[in-house]
Amino acid sequence: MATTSIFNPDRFTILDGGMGTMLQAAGLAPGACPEQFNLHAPDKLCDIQRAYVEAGADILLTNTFGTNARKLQGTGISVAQAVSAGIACARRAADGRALVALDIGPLGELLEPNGTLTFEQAYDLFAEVVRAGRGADLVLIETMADLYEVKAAVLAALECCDLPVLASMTFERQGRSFAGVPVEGFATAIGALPVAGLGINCSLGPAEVMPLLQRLCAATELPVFAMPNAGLPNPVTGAHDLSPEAFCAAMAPCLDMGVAAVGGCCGTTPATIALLSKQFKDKKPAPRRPALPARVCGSTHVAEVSRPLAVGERINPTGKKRLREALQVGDLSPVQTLAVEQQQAGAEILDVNVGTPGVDEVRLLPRAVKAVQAVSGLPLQIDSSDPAALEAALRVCCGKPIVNSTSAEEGRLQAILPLCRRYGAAVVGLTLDEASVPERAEARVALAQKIVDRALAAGLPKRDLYIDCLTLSVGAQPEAAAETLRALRTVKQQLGVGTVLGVSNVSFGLPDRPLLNRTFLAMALEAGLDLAIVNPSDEELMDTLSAHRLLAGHEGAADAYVARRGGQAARPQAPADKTQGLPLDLAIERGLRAEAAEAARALLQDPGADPLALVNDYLIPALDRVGEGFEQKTVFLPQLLMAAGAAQAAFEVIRAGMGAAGLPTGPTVVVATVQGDIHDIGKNIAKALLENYGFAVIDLGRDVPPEAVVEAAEQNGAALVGLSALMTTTLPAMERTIALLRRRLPDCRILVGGAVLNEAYARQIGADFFARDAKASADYARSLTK
Amino acid sequence: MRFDRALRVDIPQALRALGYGGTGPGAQVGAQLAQAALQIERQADAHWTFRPFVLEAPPRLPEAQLSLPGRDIALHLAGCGACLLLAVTLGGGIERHIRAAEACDMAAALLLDVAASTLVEQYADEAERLLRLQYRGQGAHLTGRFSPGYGDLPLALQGDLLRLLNAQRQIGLTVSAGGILLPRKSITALLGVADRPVSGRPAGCETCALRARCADRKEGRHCGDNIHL
Repeated sequence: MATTSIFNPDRFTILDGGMGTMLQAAGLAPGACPEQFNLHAPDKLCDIQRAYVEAGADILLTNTFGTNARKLQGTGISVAQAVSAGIACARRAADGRALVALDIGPLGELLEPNGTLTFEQAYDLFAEVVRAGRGADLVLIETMADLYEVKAAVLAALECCDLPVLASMTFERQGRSFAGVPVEGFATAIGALPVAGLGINCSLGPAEVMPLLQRLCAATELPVFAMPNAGLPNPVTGAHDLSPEAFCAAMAPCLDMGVAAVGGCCGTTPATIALLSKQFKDKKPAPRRPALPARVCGSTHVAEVSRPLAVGERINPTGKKRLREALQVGDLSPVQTLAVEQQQAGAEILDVNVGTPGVDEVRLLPRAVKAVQAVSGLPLQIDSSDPAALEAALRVCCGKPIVNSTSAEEGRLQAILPLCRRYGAAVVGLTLDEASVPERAEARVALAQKIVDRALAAGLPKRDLYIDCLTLSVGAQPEAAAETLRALRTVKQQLGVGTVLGVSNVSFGLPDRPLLNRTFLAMALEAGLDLAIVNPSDEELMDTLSAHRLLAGHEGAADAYVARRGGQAARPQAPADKTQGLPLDLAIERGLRAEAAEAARALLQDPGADPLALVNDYLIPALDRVGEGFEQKTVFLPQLLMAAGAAQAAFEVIRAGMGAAGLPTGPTVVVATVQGDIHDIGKNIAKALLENYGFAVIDLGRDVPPEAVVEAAEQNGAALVGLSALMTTTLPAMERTIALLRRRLPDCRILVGGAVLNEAYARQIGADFFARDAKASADYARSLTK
Repeated sequence: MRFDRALRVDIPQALRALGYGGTGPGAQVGAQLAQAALQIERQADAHWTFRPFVLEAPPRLPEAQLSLPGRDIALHLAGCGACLLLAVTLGGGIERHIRAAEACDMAAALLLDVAASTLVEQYADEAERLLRLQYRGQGAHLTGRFSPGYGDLPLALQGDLLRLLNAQRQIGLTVSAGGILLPRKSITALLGVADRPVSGRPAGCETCALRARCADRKEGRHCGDNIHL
């Protein structure tokens, strides 16, 4: 990897202009593969590129925008051929007067979680291009809309060649890409990687791009470049509406914005670049020293740590039996539920910890990160004591995460800090060393100083460091909280770095923990706490955070406080009893979650209550009645699901009331949407009903390879596997999965569902049962247990 | 490009898609659907793009060297000298929103999904209306929309249509290796252009790729009648 600047600070660098329109003028048919020019018409391509050099371009892009194994499939052209011929053409055209940039565009297929292409596959596709392109002078990744895809491309470029790497995304007018990435998210996440510059290209004309460039310039210290389109396209003619003169006039603000390089994208021509060159080439780019705030980001959300933020602590199996059990069988659906619940409750960053005995964290932590990213765009705090697991998770994390954590211990510092630099992560430093947590604040501050020094030496910016002065229980040591706060205050004042604390440890072993937690939170916030690791479902604690932000005068805090607490009296001591008398079964039939949970709680208060009897006497009959209505078409799917949700809420209450013994669980069912398919709502509906009837459902998610289904069924002794497919094109994957299951687990029953199936076809591909709807799935599963 | 006006989810249509025909949905479903519709309207970022092509018979776009295979599209485009490729998407933002709901509340997720499916059809109708208006001004007439997957027009055509529309750059729309449009709440279609009124011929079940195994057809329904999950 190289970070040497390819931009001259004393004069503007000129990039080249559009290629597609030029190629079409040279005879490329619409929709045809542009790389054929590299091999079959190199002279024509060379002429175009030479015109750009003569116009004044300092950097030529190779004609490899769509070069990757997927897009070239069926063209008879290999990646290696397209790239080496592309570089040769550009070299010939440049003739020593311009640098040659290996051009890399998007893969043409969406990555997970929106698509089926995995991050790892995307990385491999980009790596193949980069390896073939080592003969270029630099790599330019452009027209990206998805932060995850840019990250895959940038990592591949940094790891598979020694060339400087530039990355450019394309944004809509509002400053978000099609995938929902804001300009600041791009700057935060990709700017934290060792790249040589960031840019904006395509989509818009220069006038629309200017405000976005301004935002990019304010959000990164790296050189910034701009390659807008020649205005907006006319859909009928495909032509762009700006003349070279109009384009250049609209580019003028770049002269004193702090932009380092300019060029053009769709619709710009050598004439545009010639004018642009005349306008910019001899000028010196304005110096730019943005004051960058501390920021982290997820796939769509940027969190600025200019005010205290809530980090959701609940994705952590410590002390959570059910989460632990789910993680042990590789079921990440509870992790997703916790992510969504915490985000809804106001968490701004999510801590992800899956460390528990019997779990291979190196495999599971990256899967958990992906599972959370599928349902939340929030920044993540990746939490593990295993550096290998941290690295695996950092690779697949979309955005700029926080690593939790290193300590002042030599081995930890050496293992963790380079990872943070390499993957562009912020880091939490715990003030403990080999010995233990020092009792006195002074000793903790000394350790904090050591961590900060070492992190800076490792190349991490100060704004990415968060010191955890460690919360100990006041139950064990009465002066513990005061000492932590003293250390925190000193770290904030003397070292000037970010701070973080796990708040709830303070109350361990004491009565009314929420009271102690929120009081301690208020004290810590006043001492300078930036990141509060908390349970965001504790509403009063979150109220305290909101109130503190208001009282400390943070921007926007007043509106947020009024939105949160306006029109409300102080929080009532006990929830109002709206349900008086609504029986459990009726609450379920009507699909009322809160009421069903309340009714179950009331029934359990009876000293003679038998939890199992509640399930059999109330839950199941209510569900059966709703199910009958569904079959008779007096009840429809939304009501069936609302009833399922209410039953589940009651079920949770009953389960909690069972204590350690737990409810007996029914047979294990593995469910999955088959490989290549991402429609999972039908599968999830079936899962909800199966869980209602007590089955232990292991949900493998969407786009699941046949081997993974068989492996999960085998490991968990599943009696039944449910497969879903919604596309004619993914039915073959269903058939392959069934064949593999039959071979390896002949006793396992298989049910299939999905709109493209029917009974005859299900039999033909070897399934035992075709479920025409979710109710039929549950009925079939129940019939097996009788 | 963006649509000039934001559409509201057609609630009665969404209810029909959920199976509520004659019977009312009841207050609870009605209220939750209204809420889901509001969320989808807020999250949707609808874009569309189109491009006209000269059409030859049997249906073929000579500039793009692309043949349109099958009997149904030939019938649909009969008498047309040009054809429009159209793509509409609600964008990727609603995808995560629906997935998040699936993690906590399947009923809510279902309602969001159906509201989004309903809304993308409405935007496709809106795009068609705008095109019809524009072409009528030039004295031309359009057929209705015909999408890959209808009748015997293969889903595999999606990739070609998106390439010709430069759809990833224009509106962020792609297709997976398995032929799924991504973002999912998207529509591609072909419309014939003729110099006299044409109706086109919507595909029936006779040539449908799913003819043998379609549960709807057995029960005398058409897949246009409801939304599949």
